[in-house]
Amino acid sequence: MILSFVLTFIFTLLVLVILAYLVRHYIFTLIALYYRRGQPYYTPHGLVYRPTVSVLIPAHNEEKVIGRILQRTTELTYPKEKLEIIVIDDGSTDRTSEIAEEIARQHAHIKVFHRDVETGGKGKPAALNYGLKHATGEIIFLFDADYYPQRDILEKMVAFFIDPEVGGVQGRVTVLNEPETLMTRLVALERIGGYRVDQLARDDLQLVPQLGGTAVAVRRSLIEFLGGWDPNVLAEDTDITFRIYLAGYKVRYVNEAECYEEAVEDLRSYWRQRSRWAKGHMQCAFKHLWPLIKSRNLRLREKIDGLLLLNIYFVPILVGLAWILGAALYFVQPPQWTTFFWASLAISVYSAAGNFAPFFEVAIGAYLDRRVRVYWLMPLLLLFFLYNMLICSKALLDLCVSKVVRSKRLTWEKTFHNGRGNLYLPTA
Amino acid sequence: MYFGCYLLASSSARYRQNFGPRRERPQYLHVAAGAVVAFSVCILLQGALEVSTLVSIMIFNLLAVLLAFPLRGRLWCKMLWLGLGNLVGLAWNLVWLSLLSFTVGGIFRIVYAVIGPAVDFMWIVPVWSLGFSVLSYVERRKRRGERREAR
Repeated sequence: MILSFVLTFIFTLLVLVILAYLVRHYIFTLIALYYRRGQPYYTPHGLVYRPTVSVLIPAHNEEKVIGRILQRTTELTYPKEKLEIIVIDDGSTDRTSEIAEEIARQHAHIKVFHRDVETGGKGKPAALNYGLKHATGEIIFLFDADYYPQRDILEKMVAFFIDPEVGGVQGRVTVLNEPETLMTRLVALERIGGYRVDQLARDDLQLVPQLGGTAVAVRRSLIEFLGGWDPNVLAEDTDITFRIYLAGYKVRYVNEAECYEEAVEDLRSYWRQRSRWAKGHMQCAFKHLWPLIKSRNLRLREKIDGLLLLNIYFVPILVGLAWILGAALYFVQPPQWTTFFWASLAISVYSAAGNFAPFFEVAIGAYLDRRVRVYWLMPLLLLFFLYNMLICSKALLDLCVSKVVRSKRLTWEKTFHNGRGNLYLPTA
Repeated sequence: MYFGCYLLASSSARYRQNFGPRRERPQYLHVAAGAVVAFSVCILLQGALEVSTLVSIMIFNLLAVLLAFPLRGRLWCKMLWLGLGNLVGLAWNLVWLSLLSFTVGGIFRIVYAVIGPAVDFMWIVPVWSLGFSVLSYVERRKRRGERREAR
């Protein structure tokens, strides 16, 4: 009797949490579609703000893509006298360093710094901290080596730093190699939902837009004050987002500042990348949950959104748990549970299907982007979600093991880039 | 042409200090009409259907009315889609319930109870997405025609 009551209570709690995420996604979808009174989306009074800028490009064995991004940085429209590009060759053993040096010789604003094989290759945060020491710009931009930014991306993002409260700005990430495989198409859908709807709505509502690992700008003075990027966290982007908010600054999202990424092309690479993200995000949840609740620098709505954002990688696990628990309870007490069980399972499915953005959020994002032929992929998002359920469960398990067996250190799993994104560039 | 490259070429050439993402104006009349029809269908079917069937049809109607009816597009097109969706839902559940009654007390009943909503997902999302695709396509064609006329 008591056991049944406890299980019922846990099940109800899980359903309520899942319902909260569903409502959140629904609100975001409506905001991205209709809300016109969001934060100002332009520089106040048409002012042009042009501070000095340093672009950090960490690169560990990126010979296939490093030339592409460096070539692109020479085409950026930002005044060259106020711009420096810093390539951090992070212990590469391929031709990354050679290619970067060759391009740097032709362009004075590109500088290459090397970390040797022993000290380098330990992960992106360490490489970024190394680059930060050599950077002189007031605003620090981060681009991964496989990215391809718009020519005017710096102007669009820098404009927001005119507001002294802004500590970081995030641009939109779009998939460059979308037609390559089914996986890249699904990742593209995920990105559409995540950026075009989720991030935009969070910016509009003045909640907590998240800094990603790339197409990011941060105020140099702030990042130095925060002590740089934490090398022990696998999701340095989420970590820095929350540290910025806890320090009393805010993050803006600029939908029009687009940057094109090379998405992972197969299930194996997807597993490795998302596993790192999941572990890192969970680390951040453990690290920032309590400071977030206690903080006086955040408003209540920012705290609620921050709380939901921090725990987003636990949702697939919670859905799985709710499912198992619901099924067990259904067979223990069938008559009165029939309707509730059906309704709650439906809630789980519809809030979950589509990974971290439900399918309706993805569909609205695609609609706003005027996409036509992507909707046939929507049903496959359920499979994608089931895969993420496994990834997140394994990540949590790994994290718990690493906490218990202190000797096991979480390692940075690098995503391999094959440079096939070049095929989709206008010049290719 | 690949969409991303289109954006890449167009947006980089037209930089403005004032920019903002595209927004829609909700079609409240369409939402009201859709809500009346969807609600009536659910009321009419309430006594005749098994609870799982009703839940899945309600979810489809809710998604259609709240997220698709407010968008630009012809009302009859949306209504047709709503009607078709309900018919597909009825047919889908009829097939499943026939299987269920055929194997009363068997393993199928247990499987259906556990994975039911996920199975329903197989008709709700494709039908909903298909309608969305048609809506986007019609809207895009209409806009293209308007642009051609303006030229």
